[in-house]
Amino acid sequence: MRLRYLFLAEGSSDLALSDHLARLCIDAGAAEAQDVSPDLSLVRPVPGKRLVDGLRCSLDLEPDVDLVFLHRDANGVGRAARLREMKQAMEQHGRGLPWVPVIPVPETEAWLLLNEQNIREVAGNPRGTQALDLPKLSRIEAMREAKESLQRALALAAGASGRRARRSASDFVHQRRELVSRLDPEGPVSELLSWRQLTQDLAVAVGDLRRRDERGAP
Amino acid sequence: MLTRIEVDGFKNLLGFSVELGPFTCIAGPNGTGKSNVFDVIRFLSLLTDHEMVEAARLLRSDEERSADPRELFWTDGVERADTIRMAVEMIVPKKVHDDFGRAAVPSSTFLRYELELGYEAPSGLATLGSLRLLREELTHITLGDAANHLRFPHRANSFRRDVVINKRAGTAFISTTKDNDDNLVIQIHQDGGSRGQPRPSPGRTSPRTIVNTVTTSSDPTILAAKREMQSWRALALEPSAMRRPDRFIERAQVAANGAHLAAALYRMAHSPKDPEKPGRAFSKEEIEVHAAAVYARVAMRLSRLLGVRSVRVDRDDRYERLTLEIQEHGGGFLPARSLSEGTLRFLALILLDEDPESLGLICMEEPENGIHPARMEAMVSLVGEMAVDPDRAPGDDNPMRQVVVNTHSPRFLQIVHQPGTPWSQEILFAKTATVRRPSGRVARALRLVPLSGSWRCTPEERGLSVAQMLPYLTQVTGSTGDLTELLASDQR
Repeated sequence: MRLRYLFLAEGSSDLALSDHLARLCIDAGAAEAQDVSPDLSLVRPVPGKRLVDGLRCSLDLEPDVDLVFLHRDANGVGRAARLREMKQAMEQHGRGLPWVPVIPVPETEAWLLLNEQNIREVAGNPRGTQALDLPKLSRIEAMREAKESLQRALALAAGASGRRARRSASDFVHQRRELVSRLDPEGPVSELLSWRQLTQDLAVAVGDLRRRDERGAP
Repeated sequence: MLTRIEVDGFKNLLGFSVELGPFTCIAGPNGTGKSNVFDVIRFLSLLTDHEMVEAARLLRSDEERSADPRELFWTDGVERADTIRMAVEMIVPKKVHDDFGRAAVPSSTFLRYELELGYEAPSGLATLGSLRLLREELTHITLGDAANHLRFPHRANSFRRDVVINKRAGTAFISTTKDNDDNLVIQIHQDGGSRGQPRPSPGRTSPRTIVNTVTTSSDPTILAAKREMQSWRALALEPSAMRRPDRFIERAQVAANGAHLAAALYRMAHSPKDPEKPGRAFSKEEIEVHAAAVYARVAMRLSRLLGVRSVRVDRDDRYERLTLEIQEHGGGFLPARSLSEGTLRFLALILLDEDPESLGLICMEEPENGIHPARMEAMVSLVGEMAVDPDRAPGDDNPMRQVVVNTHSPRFLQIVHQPGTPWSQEILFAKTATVRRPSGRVARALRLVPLSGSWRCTPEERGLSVAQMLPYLTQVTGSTGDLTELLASDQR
């Protein structure tokens, strides 16, 4: 089955998650997976920040899709409230499409705190030896401030060289995006509850799509 | 740092002058002759290394290298200028090395260099004419005048007082006079190590400029001017040069055609410096840690533009060969010969920027070529940030580097002009003006005009309103396309 999906990321630096989602689609049984999300940053007037706005706009521009991924951090309100939001948005504008929630707990940065070597590399000091004070895997989803923890770790890993100070302002966004690209779906992230939830939901959705596909038209 | 150019009689430049800061963006349609500004900069640089006729020949493209140097002189098809006058003001390095590796410290670092060349028609068996030196002068600009001559926004305390030094009073370093028989005499005046009477040099018969002939530290200021002009180069990146592996070379730098990417990166990676203790030795382990950090930093910068994960240089001791390799997300390492031209172009620019030893003036013709519109912003930042930050003292973390680009891309210009970028003041429009020649004939000549209200404007040098950008801006809306509009028109 060749699967076309939409991926509605919370922020533009999360877009690289899409490559991993495509890979998970394959693992779940799709023969081919392709992200066909339109680039909403080019749309005028700029669509609203709410999930419904992005969803409506994306499906207006590209209605021919099999599956929708909705990505929002649990942060603040928790997974259950996020799920309700997503369900509501899909009922309003989802055109009856199957969908899969992508809800990192407490936030996407939690998934990025798991690989020390990646953090050292994007901080620009791969052979550094400073302790990064990373949280234990079992504690990560109970943290309050994964983002702050990641920022701290990146600063520690870079060391206090102070070189290239004028470029560092926007560095975190870029470092974070690179860490998302470097996420290993088979690595420790697969032990986190939020990730396991994602793969289970996706397995169900792809399974349904395959059965539908085998039966012919929906 | 080249801060001012004046040219008369070279190609389409008549009564032309322009001031340059750390970064300049020359905008204009094709055919205005804006690249002649790059040519005059290159010509001055070539004159420091070659005989005048050879410099004129090298300036031309490969096909027409046999052409007569007369072609460099302005013409409208009816009359031709009989001299080329060029003057530049420049800040030269505080310390240079002569051809024998000896250090030389100029007594002034802010200099004005003037050169006047004439054309000598072929005689005897020669089929091609030659160039004649008519005047050559090198003088200093005093500290008091420096503020008036350096008008681009900068911090006087941290930047100007660091780069502008003057211990010279009175005489020029090079001057031109006539002797009793009305013969031209160009003189080198004593400076630094050299003492005694000025050394005269016959102008008329010399195939080289005086700056060209100075090779030793005994004329430190002339030598520094020469080194500065040698550092002016036009970048013309060639895919074949960028893809080639390198032999083991000492002190490698990225060349103007993009050669030596591997050797330059290898040198940067494997020569750590300790700002606290210059010259100290490093352990093998320390060098490896430093190399990993340099590769990671280059990879991170490249990943802003492309899906790159790692960069490294493979060292093959058996064949004494260095090969640049890049790893993309989800793949293995690929050698430079398998990489796309776009990737290599970005990489070359990043290495030029990251290398504290790449100094001087870099001219870039249409850096937007071959770049996807979505990457344009990154390209503008890359070339803009290469230039020295004039609010801080130059050094290893703020290399004294100057960038001049020309473009006819509306998108590129629009990004440079965005409010909030440090570069919106640095746009110059290439415009043609009509002027009267001394002969009385009317001619068309190139002018570079700043935007109104930017630092280059004076009561005499008036700027253009931002409305002049309209042709560029309207094209932008038409060409990149607004997705919603596009879809609406598609459905209609």
